[in-house]
Formats: sequence, structure tokens, C-alpha cells
Amino acid sequence: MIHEGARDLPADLLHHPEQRLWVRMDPDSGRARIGLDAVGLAALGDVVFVALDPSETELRPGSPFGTLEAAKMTSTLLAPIGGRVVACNDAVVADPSLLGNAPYTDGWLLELEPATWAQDSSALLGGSDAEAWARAEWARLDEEETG
Amino acid sequence: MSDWRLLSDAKAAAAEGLATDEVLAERAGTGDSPPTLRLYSYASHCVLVGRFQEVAREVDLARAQALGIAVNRRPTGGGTILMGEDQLGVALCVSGRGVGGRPRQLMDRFADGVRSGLGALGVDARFRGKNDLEVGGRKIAGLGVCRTSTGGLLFHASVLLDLDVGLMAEVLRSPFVARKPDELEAVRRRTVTLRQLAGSSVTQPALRAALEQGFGSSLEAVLVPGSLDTAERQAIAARVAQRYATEAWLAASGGVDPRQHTASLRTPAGSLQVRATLVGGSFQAVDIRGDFFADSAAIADLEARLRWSLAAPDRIDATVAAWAQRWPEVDFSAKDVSAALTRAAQGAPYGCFVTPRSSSATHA
Repeated sequence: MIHEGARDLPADLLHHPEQRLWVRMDPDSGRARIGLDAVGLAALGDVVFVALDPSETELRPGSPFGTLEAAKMTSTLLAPIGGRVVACNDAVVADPSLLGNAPYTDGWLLELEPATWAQDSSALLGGSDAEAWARAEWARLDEEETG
Repeated sequence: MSDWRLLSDAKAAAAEGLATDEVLAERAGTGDSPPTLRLYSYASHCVLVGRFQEVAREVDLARAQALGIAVNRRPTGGGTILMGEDQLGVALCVSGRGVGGRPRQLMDRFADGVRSGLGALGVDARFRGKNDLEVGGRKIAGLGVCRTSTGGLLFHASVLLDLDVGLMAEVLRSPFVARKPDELEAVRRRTVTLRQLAGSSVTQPALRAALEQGFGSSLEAVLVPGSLDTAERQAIAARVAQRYATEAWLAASGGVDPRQHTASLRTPAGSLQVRATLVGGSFQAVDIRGDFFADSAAIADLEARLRWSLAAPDRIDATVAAWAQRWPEVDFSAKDVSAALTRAAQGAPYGCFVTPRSSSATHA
């Protein structure tokens, strides 16, 4: 379930366009939170299971960190940035509906201490680039929805 | 028309069969293997649980071992299935890059091949919910899609040419049914086989030929018979050793305990009892009974539509509304059915136990 207005991207997020994951960097703690953005949620449908099991403590961009089952499709979650894993959100494992109900707050997935933030963040979209990307994705999804 | 590789094999061992599908999908994602359609059967018999299911809850492991039945875990989601020589596996392995759309649309696109094949044998199957092809409300094929870490896409289907219902009831655990005769009846009202519909003389080669034709048409592709190359064989052997032959993979469930709850509702049409098993906010299984008059296929259809769906009131209402449209002759209202299901869903507390992991990361 995605609430009204969920197509608006929070301004403080960066987005990995291929993984459809958001990244929120907190400069005070030096940690980055990662979650599934509304475009990803819309493409996948309702998520019914989430497993967060990073294969390593130090992830590289593209390293698997979990699996989710949504509307019968299972999909591997791949890290949008590299870094040391400091937390996984067990609340979303116990209740995957958090992903749809609170995608940018309680529905986060993973917290990292980025290792090469300057380099990795260059692959993420923010601001008007993110908005343009999201608009194109929504248009494509809407077109598919209406056949 | 593009060329797709066609692989055809039979009597696969559980671990090898699963590893083959996954490796071919991964390699399709990286471009190391061509798009492939694999039609195969497992050696009789094996039990395959879904990606997030708890093996001990789904399978009578002692009975399976005594009968020599292998137990393994699929990379795709959904429920537990019994596979053998009378169930045909269909694996479509393709690069997911450039293949967009929602899972339902992807599934529908891929399911066209199975539907066309069954149609050629005189069976009119339709897509239901998230994971079934059904005929008259009864399941004839289970479907699943898995997107790999390399961007490959594995579409999987298991088609029921025939089914040993007695063996299935003996080995698989039901969350609701304590008595085997009841379990047999429950399986019979929820499933149907190709041989029941198209005659006992339908053979597996005939089904394979029909599916080849169906997929050739739905994919607009020329299916070229081929075989695994050396690199693929090595990768499959490695995947068996690293994953599918390991205890760790068999134990790799979602780590969330299911909860059961029962709700009863008196309606003008009779009483309605709903028993639901919920995992992480989704229905894992639903059993509906009562003293009403309804086609058993209609009830089986509703139970199947609810499986693996979110147990949120708006989702329940939408599922029941779609179901009621299909079965207008059922004598109780969609509103009452929704109310009973919602009551059962809300009565099942989350209170989930999350399996600790060995990673040094904390879990919030």
C-alpha cells in the first residue's frame, strides 16, 4: 500500500535508479540508511516477505544484502553503495507492510557506514535528476498498468 | 523471430534441478547463457518448499525420509509442492534487463506459454491471484518468478499432469487439517490435473510438445534443441555444493513465526468460520468452512486467491470483491466474507520471532 502523495520523493534522499532504492546520508552520524523507494514498490506490488542477511559485513556496491518476495516474485536486494553494515531493520522483516506504509521512515532496510561515499554517491540521483527519473518511471508503469 | 535454446530433461535430482534453473537464469542475466526454455521432470518424488517457508512446518520430514523423498528449497516464492515424473517443470531463463513491468504482468506474459500449451490439449486455464493457473477454480499449475542478483529472470511453473494426492497428504503438513481423509478431500477440491480434464491417455511427451508449441508462439521465438555447455555444468555442480546440498539453505526460511487465528461470523446465509495462518502480515493459508451452500470450487478459489496476499482490510476487500464477481451464485455476501477474514487477520498478532544472524550488524 502506498499512501497518497507517495510519488513525491523526499528532498533529502538520493536514488539508485536501477535498484530502485533510496539512500539517506546523515552527515552527523556518518551513516547512510537504505530503503525501497515508491517506484520500486509500485513495480513489485505488495511485499509479503523480507529477509535481510548481508553476505558480508563490508558490502560493495552491488553486493547482495537480502531477498524479498513480492506478489510472488522473489528478488535479490543489492547494495546501492558500499560500506560497513551497522544495522538491519528487523521491524520490516516481522512486518513487511511497513515498506508500503512508511517507505521513507520506519520501512528502511539497512544502515551502512559508507566506505567510498564520494565515489558511490556519484551513481545516485538527487534533486531534479531524481524527479525526472521518477516521472519517466511512473509514466512507464502507468502505461503498463493500463495496457 | 529470435532463437531460444530448448533444454529437455527428465528425472532430475532435486538439488541439481533447482541449481540448473538458478544458474541458467543468472547466466542469462550476465549474457553468458542464451535465453533458455527448460522442460523437465524430477525423479519421483521430491518436496520443494518456497523461498521463505519453514521446512519443518511444511513437511513431515521423518515420513519423507522413510519414503526416500528428497526435500529442498526453491529460489522462487510461494508454497510447498510435491514434484515427480507426473509433474512437468517449466523454467524460462532470460535476462531481466529491459523486461519491465509489475510482477503480475511479467507472470502473465510468461504464463501465456503454459496457457497456450494447455489450450492445445483442450484445457482452458486462466491466471489466478499471484501464482496459479486454474481451471474451474482448481489449480492446475503453480507459477513463480525470481529476479537474480545478476539481473536474470527465472520464470518457473509446475504443471500437474497427474498428482498422487495420497502421497501429498502423507508427506506435506497442513496447518489446519488433522485427519488425513479431510486433508485428501481438501487437496482434491483445490487441485485438478491434466489427465482428469483431458483424459488419462495424455502423456508427458504430449504435454511437452504442446508447451513447446505454446511457448514458441507466446515468445515469438524459434526453440532450438540444445544442451548445457561445460561452463554451465561446472557452475551447476558448484551451486549444488555451495547451496542446494547444504543444511544452511534448507534452514534459510524467512525467520518469522506464523500465527494462527480463527474467526466466526453469523450471517443471514449461515455461519462462516475462517482459520488463517499469517506470516509477517500476509496470509500463508486460509481455510473457510460453515453451514452455507456454496460450490466447493468457489471456496477453494477464494482460499487460493488469499494465499500470499497482504492481510490488510483494503487488500482483503479487493480480493473478495474480485472473487465474488467470479462466483455470483455464492449465497453469502462479499461484505460478510470480508468481515470474517478481516477479523481473523486482525486477531493474529504479529509478535514475530526474528532469527538472529551471524553478521556483526545489529538488528534494529
